[in-house]
Amino acid sequence: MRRDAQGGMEMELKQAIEGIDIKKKFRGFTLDIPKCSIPKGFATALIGENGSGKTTFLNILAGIRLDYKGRIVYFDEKESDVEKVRERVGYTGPGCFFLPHWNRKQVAEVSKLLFESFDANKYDDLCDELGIIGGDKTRRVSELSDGNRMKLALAAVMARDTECLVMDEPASPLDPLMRDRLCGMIQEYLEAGQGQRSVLFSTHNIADMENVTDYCLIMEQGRIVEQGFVEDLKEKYLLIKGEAKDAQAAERILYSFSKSPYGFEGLCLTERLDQLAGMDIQAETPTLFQISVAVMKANSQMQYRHRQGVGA
Amino acid sequence: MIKWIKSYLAFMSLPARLLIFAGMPAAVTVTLLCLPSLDFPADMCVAAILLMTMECFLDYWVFGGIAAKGGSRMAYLMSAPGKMGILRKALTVSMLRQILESGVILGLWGAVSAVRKGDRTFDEGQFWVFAGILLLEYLFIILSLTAARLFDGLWIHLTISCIGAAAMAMALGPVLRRSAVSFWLLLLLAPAVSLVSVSAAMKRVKENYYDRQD
Repeated sequence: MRRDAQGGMEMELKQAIEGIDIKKKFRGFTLDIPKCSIPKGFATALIGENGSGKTTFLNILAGIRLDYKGRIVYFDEKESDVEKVRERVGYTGPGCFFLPHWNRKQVAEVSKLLFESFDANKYDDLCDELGIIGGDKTRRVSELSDGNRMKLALAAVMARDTECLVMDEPASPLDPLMRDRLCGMIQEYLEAGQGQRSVLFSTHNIADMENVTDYCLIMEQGRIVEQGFVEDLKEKYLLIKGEAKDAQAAERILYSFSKSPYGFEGLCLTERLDQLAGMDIQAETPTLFQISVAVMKANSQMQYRHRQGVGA
Repeated sequence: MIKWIKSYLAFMSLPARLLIFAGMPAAVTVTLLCLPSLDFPADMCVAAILLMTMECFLDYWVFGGIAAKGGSRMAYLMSAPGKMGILRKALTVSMLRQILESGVILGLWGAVSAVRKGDRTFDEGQFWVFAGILLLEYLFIILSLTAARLFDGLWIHLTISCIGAAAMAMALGPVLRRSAVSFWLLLLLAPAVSLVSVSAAMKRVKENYYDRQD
């Protein structure tokens, strides 16, 4: 059960995609996700450091990779055959998403053949609106910048009538203005769906995408180490700032910790807040960025120097 | 059928369409016009070798690397419900186009060279020679393309097209000597090789859905 956006009535939470016991081994890397849910009607961010398995996981959910163990259920329908839901799931990925010799016009021609719900007029409007290729419809995909390629992929997927978007790092190649527009597009997509549409995207640009993120999955080393609604995570963790004299005592209690000559800062599990009683501290609501970085640090294989007191 | 043709054209950029439908016949025509006039089958043999080389080379801009390991370039197609269908249709139409276009060009050049030599008759022997050369050229196109599409590189396409052309030139002798027998043999081989070629490409594309598990 979940409160709606207005914080009023409770509603039953449905899943757009549900993964059960997803396992995949590849070149020494193991993806192991016992259970994960992408809630229906919300924007879900998949966050994690490089090599944590985000792209592999998204590719499995989008049906680009089929070599995994486990089960994926789409749209709460007990439907686990990805072939039957491809029309309803839109996917965008980085790099050479389209064949390199295609141009804007060819993308439309191919999309019309591939997807029943593809709307060529909407695609053209979106291409014009996003300023792709400065209006040059014949320029090849291989000649486009990474940003323009991503815009083209977004136009192609947004021109379809889908129920779920799976986007692999859509914000990374985009400029700040376009990232803001991307957030707007995601918001408009969800609003138009009236609770029936969902978005899952991976991102390293957590701060830029935070205002559109409802739910978040944090991955490390092939595992989901934290997941939940952003508002819940912001209640689960608190940002604590304190003076240098309390640093040593606080370090043992805090979930993440960094210190400077002037004091310390770190995330604390709310349930452990009373253990900080007696210290001169300030508690603030953390941002999603701060939560994500703390969770990633706590689970990362990378060695962080803050434990030696240098600060993160 | 329109959907099949559209599927094929979807893989071709405008320059590729121009080169394949206009540039290639024009290049063969200009080359043969520049060469001293040869006998009836010799002209056709030169045209067939030229066509085979160009077909294989130009394919790089249509299906280049489509069966290569790693399907990152195919992500959009791989996310679509009809992906395998559109590719199968495109590959099939491509083969039909190759044999039709080759047939027209070789037929025209066979006729032109015969007329240039003052021979205005068309006998059964000439038909077997024409059909044999056409099927042999088609066979080598398919074999070369099946190999070339496994790799993603212009130079590899060019190298394979040259090797294919050399091998085809060597195989032309027996075909011309025993044209009727060769025709029937090639007629059996051509559809079989076509089927294997499409199946092999589709299998490789499908493999891109899978990694090798540890």
